[in-house]
Amino acid sequence: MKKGSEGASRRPEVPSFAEIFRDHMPFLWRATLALGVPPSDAEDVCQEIMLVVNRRLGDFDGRSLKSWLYGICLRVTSDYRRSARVRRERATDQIPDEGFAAPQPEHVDALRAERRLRQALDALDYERREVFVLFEIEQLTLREIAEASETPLQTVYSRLQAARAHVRAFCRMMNAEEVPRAVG
Amino acid sequence: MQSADDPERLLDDVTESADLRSALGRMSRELPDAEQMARLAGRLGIANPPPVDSGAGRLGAAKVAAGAGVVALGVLAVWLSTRGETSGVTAPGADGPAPPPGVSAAAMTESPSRRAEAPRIAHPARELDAGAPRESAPLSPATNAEPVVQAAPLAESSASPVERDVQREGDSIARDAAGSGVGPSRSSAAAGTNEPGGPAKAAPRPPPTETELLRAARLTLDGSPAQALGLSERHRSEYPNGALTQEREVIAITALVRLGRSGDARARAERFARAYPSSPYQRRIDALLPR
Repeated sequence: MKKGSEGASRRPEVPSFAEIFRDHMPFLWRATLALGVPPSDAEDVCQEIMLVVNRRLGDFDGRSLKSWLYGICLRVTSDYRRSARVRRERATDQIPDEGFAAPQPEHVDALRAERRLRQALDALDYERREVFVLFEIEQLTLREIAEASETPLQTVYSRLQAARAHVRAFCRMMNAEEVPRAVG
Repeated sequence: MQSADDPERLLDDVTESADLRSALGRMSRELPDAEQMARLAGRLGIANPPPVDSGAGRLGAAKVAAGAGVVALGVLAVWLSTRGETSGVTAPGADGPAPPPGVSAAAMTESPSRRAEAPRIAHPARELDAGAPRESAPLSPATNAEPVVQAAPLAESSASPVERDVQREGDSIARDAAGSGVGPSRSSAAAGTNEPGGPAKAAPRPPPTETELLRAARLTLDGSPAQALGLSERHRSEYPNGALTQEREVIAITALVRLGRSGDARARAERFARAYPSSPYQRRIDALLPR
């Protein structure tokens, strides 16, 4: 009988699979998108994350659930990126999920800023992107990120600094190059 | 969570660019909606998060509110603004029933033998070995979840389990599109008899949304372009002025190309170019039909 895969966990600190889904799936989803998985594949990747969670829940020692979950998220999204099929299909498979109704005027600036940030993240080295996303968006501590990514704390810190510098510079550059908004 | 030694987060740092902080804020709010959560729950054989009146955590409230569209953003914004823990909410009390041990635990235990430790996802919809949890999907209350397993038999000769599941999901939505919104819930009919007593019984299903139709069309595009084409035609008839029309056309043109109907594909591409000059999708269509 596989521990942790049925009903309430035997170890009080370890949540059940259903609890993990309910409490953490939305954030793992968000991280998946921020790490560069296109929306059309996010659901499949998130399912894969949860399948790994389920398989390994029995071995989870109950310490630092966040590090453990995001560690799985990092590995699964990393595998996704590396797959050859994704690379071949990337050019043709990017059908966004959301409709493209014209944005309200007051949202245009916000959308532009968001697009710049996403472009900045797309241009980042993947390790730096991981640290940036986990720290700035998922709000893990540096220590949790070190655990999740199995890298030393100091390395995590320097990657965060490098990522921030890149993102800031990228956004400034994009800002400077943008055509001034048409009047009227 | 903030560790004392950690730097301040960009989002909290008022000396940072407002644009950057606002962009980070938007990305922080990119959470799955109720539909997406329900779909994932179904695929994983989990009951949906309990409804808000059962006293579940903030996520339950957000889930119910999400159906109201704009309200959901307000709820999430308030919730995120009380950010102290942004990952995980509490209230483990009202836990939905986990997959019954008899079937899904065994099925889930089976899957490691078919998969490596860090799974390789070559094409998520095609190569994921999702057979085990999907088989258990009918055992969970199908309140909002799509029924994945169908009563009708499929031609299963050479398709992998995952491809069959993808086809089923596409079939399910296709069938819904055919007879939508009428009569008793398809979920209870299609999902089998093993629904545990628990959260609400399945309600009659509304007709598929544009997003659902086109998602199904995308899912079936690889395995069955003909079905994808059929689904996009259904979208065309049911949402003639839909917001996702351009996306649908891209799917339809792709399906036509894959069916070898390049004449039809070109004709449709030409109509698209006339209807939507300077569309962001033009480049993608051009890639499908090199001149």
